[in-house]
Amino acid sequence: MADFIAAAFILGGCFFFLAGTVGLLRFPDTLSRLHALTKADNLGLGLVAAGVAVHGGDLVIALKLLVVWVAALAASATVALLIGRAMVERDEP
Amino acid sequence: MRVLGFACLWIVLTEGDVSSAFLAVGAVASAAAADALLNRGRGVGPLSALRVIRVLGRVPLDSVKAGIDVAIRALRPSLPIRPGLVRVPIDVADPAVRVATAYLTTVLPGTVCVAVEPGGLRLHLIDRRRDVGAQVAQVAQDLERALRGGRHG
Repeated sequence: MADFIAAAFILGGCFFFLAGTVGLLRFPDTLSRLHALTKADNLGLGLVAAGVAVHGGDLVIALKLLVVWVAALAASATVALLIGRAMVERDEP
Repeated sequence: MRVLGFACLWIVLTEGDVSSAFLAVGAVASAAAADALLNRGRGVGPLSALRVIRVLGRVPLDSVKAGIDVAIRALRPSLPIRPGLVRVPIDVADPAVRVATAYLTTVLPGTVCVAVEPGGLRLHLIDRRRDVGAQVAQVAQDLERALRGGRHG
């Protein structure tokens, strides 16, 4: 049963990674593409981490994966802020 | 609280490995000292830490909503986006709270913070018709209340 739940989470994560990549290719400008990277991909990573945590079946590993996900969220927000600021400063000097 | 927080983080990262306990003392002390130095005068008590955790508790749900929102927009053939930049004023004096609000705003559906300004935030919206001012102001107010003990009541 745990394997099925883990597989469902991981497949869900892969779907959101795919959607994020489609957004990266289809969205018209850099700032819009940041939405695909900071939201769809982060949810994809979170679901994959949740799937691995269920598969591992260990609380400490689950907490470690949670720390990894939170670190990835913080990193993506930081990078989005830096790229966004650079784009705004370039367009509105 | 700092030492306790970093000790918990160390235990999680090493998966409770006791053989690295001697390293833990140095690592936790160094991290706590660096944090205390960088955030001088911003002590976080147990109650405040709980309030911060409660504010951060929304992140997973917001992340799910935001991911679904972007996935739907990216995959629909009509590509229903109307991107645009907006300035959202927030009544927060502390720059650290403004930066924390910027981070949480990037997790909210449809918004990415692209600049932290003295009077507020510069946001990029995936649909500029949405009014996000009240939502962002609420996040800023909750964060300030959690970190500073409720200037807004």
